[in-house]
Amino acid sequence: MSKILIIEDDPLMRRMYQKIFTFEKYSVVMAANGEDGLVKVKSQKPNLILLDIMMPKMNGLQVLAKLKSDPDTKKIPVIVLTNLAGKQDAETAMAKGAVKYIIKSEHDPKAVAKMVKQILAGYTRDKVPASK
Amino acid sequence: MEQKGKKPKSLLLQLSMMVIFTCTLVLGGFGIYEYLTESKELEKDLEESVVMAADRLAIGLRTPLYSFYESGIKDVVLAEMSNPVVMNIIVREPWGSKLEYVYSRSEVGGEVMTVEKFETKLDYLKASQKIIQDGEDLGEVEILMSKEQIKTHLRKLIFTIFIQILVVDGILVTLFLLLLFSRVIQPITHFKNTAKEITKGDLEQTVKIKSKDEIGELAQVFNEMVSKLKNSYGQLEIQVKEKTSELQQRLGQLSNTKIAMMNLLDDAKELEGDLKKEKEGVEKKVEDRTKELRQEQAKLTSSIENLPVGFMMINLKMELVVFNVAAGTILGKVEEKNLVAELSKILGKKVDLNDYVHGCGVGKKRLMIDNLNQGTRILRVLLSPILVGEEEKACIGVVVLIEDVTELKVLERSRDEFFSIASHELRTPLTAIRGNADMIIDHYSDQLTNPELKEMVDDIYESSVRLIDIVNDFLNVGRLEQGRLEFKLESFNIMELVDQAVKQYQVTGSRRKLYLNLEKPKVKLPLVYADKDKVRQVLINLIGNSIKFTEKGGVSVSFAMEGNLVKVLVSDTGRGISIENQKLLFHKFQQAGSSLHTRDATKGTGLGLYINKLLLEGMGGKIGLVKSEVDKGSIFAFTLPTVG
Repeated sequence: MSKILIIEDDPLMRRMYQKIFTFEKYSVVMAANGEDGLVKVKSQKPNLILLDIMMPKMNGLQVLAKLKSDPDTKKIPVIVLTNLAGKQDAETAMAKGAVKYIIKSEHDPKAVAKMVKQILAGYTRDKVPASK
Repeated sequence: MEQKGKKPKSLLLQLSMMVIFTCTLVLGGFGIYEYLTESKELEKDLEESVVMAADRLAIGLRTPLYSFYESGIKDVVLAEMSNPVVMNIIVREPWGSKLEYVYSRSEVGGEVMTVEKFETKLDYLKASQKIIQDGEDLGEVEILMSKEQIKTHLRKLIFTIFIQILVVDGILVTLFLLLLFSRVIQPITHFKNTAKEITKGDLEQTVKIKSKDEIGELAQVFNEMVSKLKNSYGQLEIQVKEKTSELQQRLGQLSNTKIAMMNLLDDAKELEGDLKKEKEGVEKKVEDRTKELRQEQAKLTSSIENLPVGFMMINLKMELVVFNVAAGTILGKVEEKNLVAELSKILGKKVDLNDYVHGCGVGKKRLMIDNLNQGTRILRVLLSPILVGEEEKACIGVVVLIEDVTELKVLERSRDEFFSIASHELRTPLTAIRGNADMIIDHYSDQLTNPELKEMVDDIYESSVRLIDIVNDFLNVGRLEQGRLEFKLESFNIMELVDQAVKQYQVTGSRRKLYLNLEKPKVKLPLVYADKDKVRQVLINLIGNSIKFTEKGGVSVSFAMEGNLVKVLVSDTGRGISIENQKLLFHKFQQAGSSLHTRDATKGTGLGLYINKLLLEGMGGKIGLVKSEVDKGSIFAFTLPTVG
């Protein structure tokens, strides 16, 4: 069973994603901010991380940088969550090693779950994550 | 002959003087010669006579002296003294004895007396002779003779010569004058008189001299001259007569002309009066117009002055011609002379003001330069060339409008920010509503046994979807209007895209039992060059609109070629759009046939067609209403560019 870490400060979104991934039979771990997220990555060792960019304390880009600089975590695929205004940041995140970005308001939870599934399938198939 | 300031000298007198002078000179010469010869001869005679008298005395006195016979001496002496020329006779005894006999004649009366010594004032000649008797010296005699007689004689001679000259002169002059008078003076006088007569106009006069000398010739020539003069004068007179009659004729004409002129002048005066009246009228009009113009100018000036916008007019020499207070204030309280320089500085590298003015607008285009920073403020400058003359060929300068758009920019930014924030902040909770509603429907439908509850959950989902669409519309309009929406142009098959969209609708839009057809084109369509997502958006919006306004029948999509463009037509059998409402289509917030209060709330924001228009324009296409009939349906169509 794949484990997904959701790092998202908005509880509404966090819970929504938690629900869909639970429905889809994933094990879900949640973090309300970047710092908490980094701790959970270390302790929970998720298969995939959903990372929001606009967060207080430590933003998604900083978290991403930390993840990619740590050999223990740099192979974990990261999907960046953002709103419409953060498209620029999302592209920066892609350049820094995120595998995909998702504009939250444009996709139903179902669609998000589908994307995650595809990415995990790719990773399991190739074994080596293409961190780009 | 006449000499300035001198009396005319008579020719006669002059000639006489000359004759007298010549005769006197000649006769005088002779006279002097005669006088000199005579005086020499007389002196010589006197000298001879005194020597002879001395000799005589010496001989005559021998005897009386020898015998000392005194009276005998006296007798001899007196005899000699009978010659009146003899003045003194002195007889001296020899051997140095003192005995001397001095006889002297008195100068007055001529009486002879014996004197001890004699004195004389007269000029005299002297001679002496020794008295010798048989070799015995008896003494000496001295005799003095006066020259007075010679002098007297010479004086007489001079007088005679003078008289001679006088007489000869007189005779010669008389003769000369007689000759001159008869031969020269008389004819000249005659000439003079005749000339005088001719001068007076009597051309019949002639000179009557027949002599054969020069005067005669002169007379002949003179007469010829006069006769010629007479002829010329006659001709002249004829000419003068002719001229005079001509002149009289002219004078007559002139007098006629003058009368005509006078008449004309009278007319002119009348005309002048009329003109004056008219001129006064025109002047009044000009005055009125000037007043009006002044008022207009005053209005214009005060308008310019009261503009909230800075106004400057710069001529081709980069000189400030007109400006208002606002110009100085907006540019930062700049003095008049520095306004142009300050403007140039603010424009900086965006526009070279100097180049713009000299190029007179570079192609004579208006130029708006936005976002110019002046300290903490933001300025907008509008440059516009002033074109005058036919076809606006001549450029006389540049008008500059300067606007402080700081507040406008702040407002714009806040509006944008509001839209952006509002939209984003709205979207997150909406996404949660939609997502959760969707999940309830998907995963808990078995628990929604109560149909009312199911309907409520469905409505929540529908509402969230519609809200998200509205928010998206707002965001899209904002971006499209600001040109911030990116178009990812690519070539693709439009048929496939339409097919996909139609299929998507057949799923969601089939509740009202409407048909949705795709009429495949008869010919193969070329690939279009556009943004796939945006075309899909337009297509879905158009199909959606058609479905929304159609109760029965359905919607069909067809294709056509229009030149190089591919045309996509969406036809429906809906309610149609009235003609007056047709012109409201494609405008912002216009939903055909609706005001703000009556608009159909279920039919969206009214931004759909407006967004379609902006999207298609962004891709080089066009959208329009092909035709529409109330209660029968509408046909919308859009075009897209093709590859190549």
